[in-house]
Amino acid sequence: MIECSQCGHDELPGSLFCTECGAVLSSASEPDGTLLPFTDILSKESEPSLLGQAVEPVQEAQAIVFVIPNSGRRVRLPLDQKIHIGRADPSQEYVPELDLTEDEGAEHGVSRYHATIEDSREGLFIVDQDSTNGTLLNKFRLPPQLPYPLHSGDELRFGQLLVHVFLE
Amino acid sequence: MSTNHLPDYYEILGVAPTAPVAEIHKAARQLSEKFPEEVRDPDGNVAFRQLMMAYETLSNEQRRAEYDRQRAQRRPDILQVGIQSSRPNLEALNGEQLLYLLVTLRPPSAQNKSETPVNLALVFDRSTSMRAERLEQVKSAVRQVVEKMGSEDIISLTSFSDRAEVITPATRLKDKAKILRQLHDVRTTGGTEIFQGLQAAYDQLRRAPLGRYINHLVLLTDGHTYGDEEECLRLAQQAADQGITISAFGIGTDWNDDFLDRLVAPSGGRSAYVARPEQIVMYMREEVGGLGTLYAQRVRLKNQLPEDVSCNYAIKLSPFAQPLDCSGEAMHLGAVEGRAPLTFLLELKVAPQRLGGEVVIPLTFVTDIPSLQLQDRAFHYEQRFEVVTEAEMSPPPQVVKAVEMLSLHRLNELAWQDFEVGNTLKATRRMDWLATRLMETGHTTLAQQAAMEKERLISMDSLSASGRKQLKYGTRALLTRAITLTGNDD
Repeated sequence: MIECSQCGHDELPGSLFCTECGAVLSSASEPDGTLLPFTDILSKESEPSLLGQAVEPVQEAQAIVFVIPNSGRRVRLPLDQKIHIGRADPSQEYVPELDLTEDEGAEHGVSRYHATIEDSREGLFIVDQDSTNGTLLNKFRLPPQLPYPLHSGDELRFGQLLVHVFLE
Repeated sequence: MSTNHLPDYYEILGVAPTAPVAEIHKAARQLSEKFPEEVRDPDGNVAFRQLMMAYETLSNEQRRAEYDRQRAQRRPDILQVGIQSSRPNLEALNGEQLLYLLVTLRPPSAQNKSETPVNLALVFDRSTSMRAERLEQVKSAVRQVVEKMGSEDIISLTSFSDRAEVITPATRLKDKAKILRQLHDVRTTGGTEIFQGLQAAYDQLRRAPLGRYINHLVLLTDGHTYGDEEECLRLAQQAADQGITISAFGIGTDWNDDFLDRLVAPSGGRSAYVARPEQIVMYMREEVGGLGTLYAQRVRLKNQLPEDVSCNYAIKLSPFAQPLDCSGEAMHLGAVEGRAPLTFLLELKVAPQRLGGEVVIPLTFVTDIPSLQLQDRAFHYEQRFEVVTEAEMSPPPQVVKAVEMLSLHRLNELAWQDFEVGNTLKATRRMDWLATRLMETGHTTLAQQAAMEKERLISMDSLSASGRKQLKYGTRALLTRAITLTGNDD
């Protein structure tokens, strides 16, 4: 159900306007949350900083920790390599660094090749790999194949599976 | 290969048919980059393969010339159908969800003049309530209609009060002067019994071979009909079955709008509110002018919804706003005219869906196209919706605008319904919301009307007959405007 912010009436998912008071329902006009500015990190070869402003240097983060509330699992991975996120595919002998199979990834709509996280001199970024059900970063739906900066404390959603991110 | 199945490579690349080759290179490169590495395989992904085909054809001068030649020979579609949905997919849910479809039908090319003659029956109220002014306006409207029609067209004039009187039996428009003389002598008398008038006008229409004409009955009334509503509705259904469209115009405020809506529903005609007598001429000109550009008639949408999808609400938006009846085997949409597309909005309720499933909504239109001598020709379309974990909500602006205006129209309807069942408090709250929303969207006159009705509810526990009509037809007009002002999709 979607709750109308003006009169509190409950509407069916997919509704665009409240039947009780005619107000626009938030899900109709924009995706949840605000739009993050897109930065094309990959195309930049030299110095320019992210978003045109001084970026807090990733405080020499050595590792990334994923906390998955659904299973209560905590996964710590070193940041010296590209991190694949998805579900293992034994037929292809593919096991992503962050394998969400045991967190009921399939039931929550996680694709095998769902997303990747990479470290660069401008910081950490995440790229949705054309996953079937998409990736949300702090409730913002990532367009596929575009890198977005990732920070400690960010909330990710692969399909419907919630994952918290912390840097160490 | 049939040229009708020729894929539109320009559309695939998103470039104009006149685009220089450099632009084609650029578009193809940009599009191909959107495909992930692993599907960039000409044997794998269909969309990628199409993109490659488009690129290979259009980037080569000789192949492009040959393709352009074939493309130019494509037979235009008989009927253009455009479907926009409020969302690209559905969500896996344990509960119900909504889906909106905005559908547009138009002729394949601009159609300014229909070749098919018109068989028109005008039936008007001459009861004493019509008074001199209204009757004179009706007469002058009829006069203009008669002047405008062609010599191959057929017209009959019928007036009614307690009984019907055929003033001019169905006749070709050769002796216009005679018709106008007959009209001149009509005077007001008696009460309003619509059925008598409808029956007489219907009989006049049936004197012509219906198959060769655009058959249309126009009713003008200013009063409530007593005790014969069911007979009227039966006749309306019978007329619709034979390809006769009925439109009904209510003059003043003392007539039953729900009844007129039901009267025109079986044939997909129009019912409208004529607030002032001098507007009669305008409405009639519009109505008959539309017949003159008619392209397809008796357009029906078959009810083929799958078991887990039901139609919650259906309303036509263009060329005029009119609620549609989606409860039967087929929904009658009326006619496709050359002047403005036929546009309608469906609100569909989808039962709980499981992840990975798919919902297919078939849309089969059945219509007659007189200029091509086609009868009951079916056009089949379908919309497919994948069931995913988190559905996207990015409705096209035109859909949002239409649904927004529909929500205002329904807010008004619900307020009146609340009032009718004695829930004044709820009605007052809704009327208040309606006034606010109308003001927010810049419709100040209607907003004031809603505010007045709200005050009336608070102080007198009543609503006004003129307010009812103004708000009902006023919010309907907003629906039409929502579609025509947000521009068209081509």
